[in-house]
Amino acid sequence: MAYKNIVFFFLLSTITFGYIGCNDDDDNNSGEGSVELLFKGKYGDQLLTMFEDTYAYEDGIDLKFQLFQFYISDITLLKEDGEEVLLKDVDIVSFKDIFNQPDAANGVSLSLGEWPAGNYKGIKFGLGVNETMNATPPSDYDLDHPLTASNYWSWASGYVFTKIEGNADLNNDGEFEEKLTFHIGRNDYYRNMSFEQNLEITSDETNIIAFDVDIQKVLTNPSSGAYIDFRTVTQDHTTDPEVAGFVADRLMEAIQIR
Amino acid sequence: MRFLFFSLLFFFSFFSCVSEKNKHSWPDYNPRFLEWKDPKDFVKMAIPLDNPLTEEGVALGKRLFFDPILSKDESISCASCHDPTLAFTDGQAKSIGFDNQLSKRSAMSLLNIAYHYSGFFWDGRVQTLEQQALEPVENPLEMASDWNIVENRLRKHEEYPALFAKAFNIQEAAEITRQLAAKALAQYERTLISADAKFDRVMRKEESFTAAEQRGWAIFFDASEDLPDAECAHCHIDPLFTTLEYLNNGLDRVETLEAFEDLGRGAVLGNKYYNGTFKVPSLRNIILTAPYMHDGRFDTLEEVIEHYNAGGHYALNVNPNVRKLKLNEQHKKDLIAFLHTLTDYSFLKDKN
Repeated sequence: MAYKNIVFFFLLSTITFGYIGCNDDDDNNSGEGSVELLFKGKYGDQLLTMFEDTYAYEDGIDLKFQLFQFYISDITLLKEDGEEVLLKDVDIVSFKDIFNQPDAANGVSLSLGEWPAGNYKGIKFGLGVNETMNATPPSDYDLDHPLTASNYWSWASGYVFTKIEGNADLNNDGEFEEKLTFHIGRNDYYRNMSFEQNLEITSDETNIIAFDVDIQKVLTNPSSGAYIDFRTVTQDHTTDPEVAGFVADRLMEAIQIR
Repeated sequence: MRFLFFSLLFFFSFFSCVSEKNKHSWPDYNPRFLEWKDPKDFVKMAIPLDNPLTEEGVALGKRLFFDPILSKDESISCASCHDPTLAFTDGQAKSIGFDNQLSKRSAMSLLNIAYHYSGFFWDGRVQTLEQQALEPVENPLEMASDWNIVENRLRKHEEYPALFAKAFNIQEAAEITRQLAAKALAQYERTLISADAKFDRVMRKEESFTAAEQRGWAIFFDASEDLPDAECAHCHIDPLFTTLEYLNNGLDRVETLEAFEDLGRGAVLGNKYYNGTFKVPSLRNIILTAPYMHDGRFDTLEEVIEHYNAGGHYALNVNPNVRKLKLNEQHKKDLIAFLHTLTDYSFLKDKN
C-alpha cells in the first residue's frame, strides 16, 4: 500500500511539475510575436501596379510606372514607457514585382522577426539609408542584404534612397514615350517618420502593421497645388535640390499607417 | 603442350594484372582547399557548401573546360565559345556550335561569373553554376552530346578517373557522373576573376586616368555638371559593371509585348512584362567582347553608343534609363577611352 502511495505521489508530482514546466516553456516562447510591415501601393484611390494600369496625372498626362521603391532605416517600435525596440536597421520597400491588381491588393510585406509581445504606442523609421550605413559599400554585406550595388552610387558614396521610374503619355496617343526617372539619395534627403498609434503585438501570432503608400502624393502636393511637371522635368539624380527635396518631403506625406 | 599453354597463359595474366594495377593505382584523396579572397569592393562570393574550391577540383574543371570530349563528335569544348583571349567570349554574334549550327544567342563573358547571383545565361534560367555547366553539353545547337555518352568517355579515359578521384574522392571510375563534372567546371569558373583593369588600379590609387579617360568616367557615371550623362551606371555599376538585372534596353520597336522575336527573361518567368528583357552584361573587358548585345547585332562600341545616344526604340517595357542622350563626337570618344580602362589583361594568357 505504502509502495503504491509513493508511486502515485511520484507520478502526480511528475505530471504537476511537468505541466508547470511546460507552462514555463510556453511562457518563454509565447512572450514574442512575429512582426511584419505591410505596404500597399496606391495612386490616389487606385491600387498601384507596374506596367499594367494607367494613371491620370496633371495636365491630362497619363502615367505608367515601372519601378517605385524606397529604403527605410532604423525601424523601431515605441514602448509606452519611452523605451525603443529596434526591429531592423534597414530594409527596402519595393513595388517592382507588383504587376496586377491581386498582388497590389496583397501589398509588399517585410518580415521583421519575433519581438516581445505587449502594447506599443507607435512605430518610427527613417526614409532612406541612415548616415552611418550610407557611408558603407555593398561589399560590406551579404548578397541578400537590402543594401545592394544596384542601388549604390559608388562614385558618390551613398545609396539611392528612393527610385521612381515610369513613362508618361504626354499627348494621349497611347504610347508612353516620355521616360521618367527620379533617383533621390544623399544624407540631406534622409527623413524621419513617426506614427503614434496603439500597436498590440500578440504572442505566437503574426502581427501586421499596415501602411498605404500613395505615389500620387509623392509627385503632387494637393495642398499647395505644386507638382512635378513632366512636360519639363523628366528626371532627377538628386541634381536639382528643389526636385529632390520635393520627392523626399512628399514621400513622408504619402505614407499613412492604417 | 597443354601444360605449357596454361603456364604461359598464367604467366601473362599475372603480369598483365600487375601491369593494370600499377597503371591505375588509385590516387589518394588529399584535397588542397583554396582560401578564397574576394577582390576589393566585390560582394562575398557564394560558394556552395557541397562544392568547396580545391586545387584538384579547379584543375579538373579547367581540363574539362578546354577538352572537346564533352561534345558529340569531340570537336568543340567550352573554350570554343568562351576563349580566354576574348574575355571568355568567341567574337561571334551568335555562337557556332556542333555541325556549324548557330546558337540562339551570343556567348557571354565568363569573367566574374561566380558573382552573377541573379541567375545564369542571358535569361537567367538556371540559378547555380553547377546547373549551368550541365546544359550546353546536351543543347542540340551547342555541344549536341549526351551526358550518358560523356560519362562513359570520362570513365574509360586514361587520365580522368584519377583526376576525379583526387578532386572528389571517388573509389572507382564508374562513380564519375555528370554532376561531378559540373561541380569541377563550376569550381574552375569561380576562379575566373577580372579585377585588375586600369580602372581598378585607378580606384586603388595606383595609376591615374588620362584626361580623356577621366572625362569618359564622368560621362559614364554622371559625375560632372559640365559633361552630359550617358546614363550608363544605372545598369552597369561597378565593381561588376552590371546590376545583374533583366532589362529591355530598347533594341527593337514592338507594338505589343508579345511581339518580341526573342522573349528572353519573359519566357522563363511567364511574365509578359519581362518579355524582351535580358541580363545586363558586364562591361568589364568590353573591348574584347564584340560583337555586342544578346544577339550580337552591334559590331562596334561606336554603334552601341549611337544606339543609346538615340534613346533606343519604343516598347512599353523599355527601361526608362534608356533615353535620348546629348553626346557629341568628343563625348563618345571620351566614353570609349574610359571603356578601354575596363580591360584586364591578366587573364589573356590563360590558354590551356
